[in-house]
Amino acid sequence: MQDDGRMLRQCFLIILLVATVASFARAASSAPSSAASAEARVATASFSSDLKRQAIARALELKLDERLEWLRLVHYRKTTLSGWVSDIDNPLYFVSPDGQRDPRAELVATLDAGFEHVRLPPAIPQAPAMTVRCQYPARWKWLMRELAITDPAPDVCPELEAFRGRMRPSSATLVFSGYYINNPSSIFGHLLLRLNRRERLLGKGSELLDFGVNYGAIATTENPVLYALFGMIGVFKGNFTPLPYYYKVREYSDAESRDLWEYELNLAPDEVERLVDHLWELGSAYFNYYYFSKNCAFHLLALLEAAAPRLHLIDRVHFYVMPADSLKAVAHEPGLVAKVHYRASTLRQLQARYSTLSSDEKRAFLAVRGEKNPVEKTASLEPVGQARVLDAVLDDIDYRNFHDLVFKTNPFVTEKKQAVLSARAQLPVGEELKIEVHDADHPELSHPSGRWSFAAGRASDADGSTTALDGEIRFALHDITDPLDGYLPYSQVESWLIRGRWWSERRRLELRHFYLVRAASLAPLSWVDKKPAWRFDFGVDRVRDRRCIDCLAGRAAFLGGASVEPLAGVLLYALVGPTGETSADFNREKFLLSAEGRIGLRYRISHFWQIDGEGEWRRVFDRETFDRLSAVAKTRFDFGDAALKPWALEFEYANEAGNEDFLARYLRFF
Amino acid sequence: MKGLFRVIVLMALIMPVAFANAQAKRGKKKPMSEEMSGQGYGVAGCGLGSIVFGPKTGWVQIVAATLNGTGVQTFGITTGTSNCDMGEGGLFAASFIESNREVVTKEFARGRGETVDSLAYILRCNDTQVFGDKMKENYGKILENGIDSYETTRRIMKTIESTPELKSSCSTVG
Repeated sequence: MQDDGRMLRQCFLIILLVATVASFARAASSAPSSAASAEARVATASFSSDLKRQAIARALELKLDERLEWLRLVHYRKTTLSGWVSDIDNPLYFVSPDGQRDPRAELVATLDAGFEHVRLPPAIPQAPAMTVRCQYPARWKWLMRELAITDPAPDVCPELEAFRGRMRPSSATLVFSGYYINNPSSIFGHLLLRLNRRERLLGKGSELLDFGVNYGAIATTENPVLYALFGMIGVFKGNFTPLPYYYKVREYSDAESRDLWEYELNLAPDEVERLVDHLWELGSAYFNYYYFSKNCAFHLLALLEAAAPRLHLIDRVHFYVMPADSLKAVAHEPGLVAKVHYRASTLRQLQARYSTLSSDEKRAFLAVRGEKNPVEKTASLEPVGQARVLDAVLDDIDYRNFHDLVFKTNPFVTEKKQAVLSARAQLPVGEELKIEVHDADHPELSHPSGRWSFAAGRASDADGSTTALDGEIRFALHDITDPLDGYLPYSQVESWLIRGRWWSERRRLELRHFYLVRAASLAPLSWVDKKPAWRFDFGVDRVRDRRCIDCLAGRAAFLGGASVEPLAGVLLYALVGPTGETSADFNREKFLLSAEGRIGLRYRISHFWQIDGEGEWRRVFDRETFDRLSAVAKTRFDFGDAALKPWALEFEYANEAGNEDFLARYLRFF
Repeated sequence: MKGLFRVIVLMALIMPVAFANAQAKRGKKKPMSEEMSGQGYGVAGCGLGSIVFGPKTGWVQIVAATLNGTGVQTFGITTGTSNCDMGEGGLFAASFIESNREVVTKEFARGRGETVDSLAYILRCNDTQVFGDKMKENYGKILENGIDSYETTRRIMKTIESTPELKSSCSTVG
């Protein structure tokens, strides 16, 4: 008995001893391995903590937390109660627990953790735990410089160095991709940044291999209603992601046939360096995404401002911002844009190739593009001519079938392209395609996104006519009668369009209409493709007829049709489709469906003068179906430089189911 | 009336985007970003720098194409062993060809273009004109129907080896 007990005690003591030794060994191994370096660490630690205390004291004395460079690096914005809040919404991003609202606490915590070589808990799950110098290199570098400290114990940062090595830019380029009406997140264009690799200065490789930096939202739902709602109210998170530039070129230029405009920026070498370091910092940041205000257009400016504190770009844009506005802020900053380069979409390349064909070749191209075997039909031409035609055919196949080709969903088209490619390879190398770019195409020279107008004249209703004053404001963006420079021809997108009227003799002020969206594409049928014209309206409109004496009705309309351009500058179109309207004040049915038809004629006489007219026919399916006709005729004169604050004068005659308006209007962009 | 107005305005906030999105889903040109989310980073096979062909036929997970990840602090690493005979330059070339395939085939047939310049750079060939000419000359072999981008790259590298003008102007690491 006694022997067992003793043996048990001895075993217990041995286990205790082993456990103690083991735990010490583990503790020792997690610190720098050898005793010598452990000593050195203790020595530097005490030196560091003196230096740390001095650094923090000096930083507070210099009020570094109030400096623009610091505020921009952590993306702080002023709140209405003169406090600060960072746009970065990832709570784990900050070194200090109060970091999101307290620039000073964040600065002190950064210095503290930095000097202590603390490994910060990762801000996103998959990231490795890094020290301040490795996680926030831009912050640290700036702090050391402002405090005039030579960092006594810099950390080794393998991931950061690898990142810097991969990016290695000599400069940055702002890339604007054109308006694309088929994708709601791209209606107003898109903006990204490209980091230009150093080797390209030596002519090595191409831009395709550079890195693009993209800010976008991470959509967590496919439900279209939620997608729209969440995107607007900040439910989605947005972040910066670097992607190979060729990926973006394929997406925009090829898949969506959008032009890309590339603006090379004049940034100093230390600004480019800070840009790369700051991008690294933002790797673990996310921002709540707001479609109208805190979107790619905003955050790219914030990124540039953090990298180059001398820039004040956000001051130049409204509280709501779209890519073209940011582009203009950059373009109007003196000396910031070094050069502009235009990258044509597949469609543009096709159109350019077509225009270089001789008339025989044009005929051949149009004859063969629909053929199963285009190659046979070009055999009668000279090899150089054949090559030109087949090059156009290849661009045509890509333009019309890009998705099918990439995802191999149409074997017929895949086979056809392969046949054309094999034939093309046997023909001689062609001339380089040269695409003319006109000044008027430049998006940074387009008219500003907002427009207001004021009109005066006579309006009439059931009781007769009276003097009327109209006021209208439109926050975005462009309609077909606006100056064309920099916009897609025949395309219009209007958002947040509000018109009010004051009937002076009636002493009545009313809302005439509020459109959340009014979009249309009236591109004329052409040899390139036979896309239909369409129009989409969504908003609230005033109604005065059999449906109700006087009320506002919600209205959604979707029309389709065709348009042609019989003479240069003359556009003729016809559209037809359903309209749904609803109002609690409707006399009988509260929800009414109508058929709507529109015919229009536009004549752009010169850059400065245009006339247009449109007739509308509506058949309303109420308990008693009735018809309604209206028409509008306008003439407009545009003045001033589209890129600045142009203005216009317009004279309008409108007839709304018998009620006539005669108005003279002054329009101005803002 | 006011209540209805509010409902209408609320719906108005949702509808246009919903509509356009529904249009997109109806098979019209869907944005590439939806098919190919840049978020799905992953590197696989042959350690860092290898490529994994993504879920859709003929598409590539982006980070692999950029060698060793993009540097955003979010990349996963898996392991695998296929296609390890090509070296880093070869793997980069294969993923570039895969991601830019439709334009690469076009520009190789033409003998000129940005993708030709890019591939010449990736494979360390100094003379892009000779590179383009030779790719064009050997088009049928290099871009034979049915072979994948890895095989195309192998054939390109073989062509470089066996063509004196290319062999002298390229220092492709095998």
